[in-house]
Amino acid sequence: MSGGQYVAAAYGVFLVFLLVYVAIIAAKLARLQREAEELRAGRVDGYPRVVPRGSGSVEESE
Amino acid sequence: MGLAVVLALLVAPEDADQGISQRIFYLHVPVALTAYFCFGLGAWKALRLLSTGEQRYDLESYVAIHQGTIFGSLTLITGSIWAKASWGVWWTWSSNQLVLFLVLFLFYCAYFMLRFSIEDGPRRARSSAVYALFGVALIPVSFLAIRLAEDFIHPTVFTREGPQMTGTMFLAFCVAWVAVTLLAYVLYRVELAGKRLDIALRELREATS
Repeated sequence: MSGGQYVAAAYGVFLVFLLVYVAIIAAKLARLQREAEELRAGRVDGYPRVVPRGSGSVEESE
Repeated sequence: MGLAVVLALLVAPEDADQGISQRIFYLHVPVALTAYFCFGLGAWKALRLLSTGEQRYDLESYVAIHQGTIFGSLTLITGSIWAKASWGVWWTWSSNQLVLFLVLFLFYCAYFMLRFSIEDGPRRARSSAVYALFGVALIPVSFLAIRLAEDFIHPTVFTREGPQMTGTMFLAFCVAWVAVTLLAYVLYRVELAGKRLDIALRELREATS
């Protein structure tokens, strides 16, 4: 390998690490967003439906 | 990061001794310094946890050490590529700088084994904090190893007479250092926010069950 190829490999590894890390974080944030929406909509199995404050009752989810 | 890459690859002059492979320096050294910084930050947060007892420092320390191991991995990989290009070998055990950095890296890898072998709670937070604090002692040793041991294999760029490079090279290095540190900080904040959100959601689920 030439010197230029080693330089490309070093910067390429950095870029790949960064992209993999960002992909993992993005997947996790997407999962959290989904879970938050499920909680908000009261669709989580076995959990009570979250109802607006002052509505008087806690409704069970389906 | 874009400016740093342009300065490092296109603007900075080619090194007379190592040629084009010296351009790995603008990535390798800032990444290594950032790894030291992250480990140091993790130890500082651990010290704050032990002194104040506030549990939020546990998560902050954990995330900083996690970032440190990521940048530590990158340091070892980019350093290994540079070693192959410059010395003809991927690794040498005769360089104290390399070996001590590997020891530091493995020490903090073991942090995760310790952390996840203890049940979640104040005991885990305290044990992890004490371990993180022990590791910080290795940072100055690793950083100064090359100077203490007078190791001629690993180059010494920053001496008491200042940086041993031209002004453009130094500028490229400084920009790259700032860029990598800022990148690490952004990743730290994003990961920390994600973990806090995860915990908050878990607590909300438990509260509504």
